[in-house]
Amino acid sequence: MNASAASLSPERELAVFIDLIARYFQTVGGSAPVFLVPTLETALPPQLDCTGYMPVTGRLTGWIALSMPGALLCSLLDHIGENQHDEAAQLDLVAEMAGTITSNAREHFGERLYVNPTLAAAAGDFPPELVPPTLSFRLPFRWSGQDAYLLVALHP
Amino acid sequence: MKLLIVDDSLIMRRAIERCVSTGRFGEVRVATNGRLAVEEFARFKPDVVTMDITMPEMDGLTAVERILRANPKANILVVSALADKATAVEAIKRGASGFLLKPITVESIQAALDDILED
Repeated sequence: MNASAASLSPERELAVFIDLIARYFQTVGGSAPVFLVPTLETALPPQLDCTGYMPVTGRLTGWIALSMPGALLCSLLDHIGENQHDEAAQLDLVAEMAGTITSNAREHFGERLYVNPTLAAAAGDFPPELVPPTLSFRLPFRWSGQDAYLLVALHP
Repeated sequence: MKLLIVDDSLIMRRAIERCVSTGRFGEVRVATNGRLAVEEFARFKPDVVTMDITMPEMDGLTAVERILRANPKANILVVSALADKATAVEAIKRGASGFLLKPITVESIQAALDDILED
């Protein structure tokens, strides 16, 4: 971990995730999403059709999740040339996206962020391996007319 | 030429396969974790491997080490989202031929494979 990674402010952490989500969508989907107003959540927000969870250990523990509607995932699958659009494909993609965005964040957070294999769940299901957060940070965004969000549930 | 794609994501495995389906590789096989990659490498003897890192059962860096212990000339391109320099350095230290950061594009993976196979 470098000195700058150790002293990232919440605003800087937000900027990191905005940049990483924008980069992912720009690279894979051809355009960046529009980011909406972030919020602090005191309960688990309602999950959209498919949610990918990246469990995190190390100096920060908890998880980071990406929750997305099926229509958005189908649109991304189209962009990458994938014909399979069923729920299995959507769950696979959202897990891969959550893993990619969180893993990319190690460039900024260093060893504070030790990532683990991703989990995925359909709406209404929550992975039994994870603990629902008492406080989390929700970053909503819109792409291709569809709303999705990143949820950061980490604590030192 | 033969290619082994190692990734726990079905969508990623198929995306990589589409990226390289330009006639260069006559045979492509896949593995879904590091342990299966080590086993498949021994059977398939590919010319090049694309290897994810964060996978269940056995991670990609351990698989790189085990494959190279038995096959010192193996060509392995690590394809990972882990963006810190320490991870890339560790992959090369363990013997990987290259490191490509996810998310990938057709151009980025073709160029990375070109670099490895030209060497």
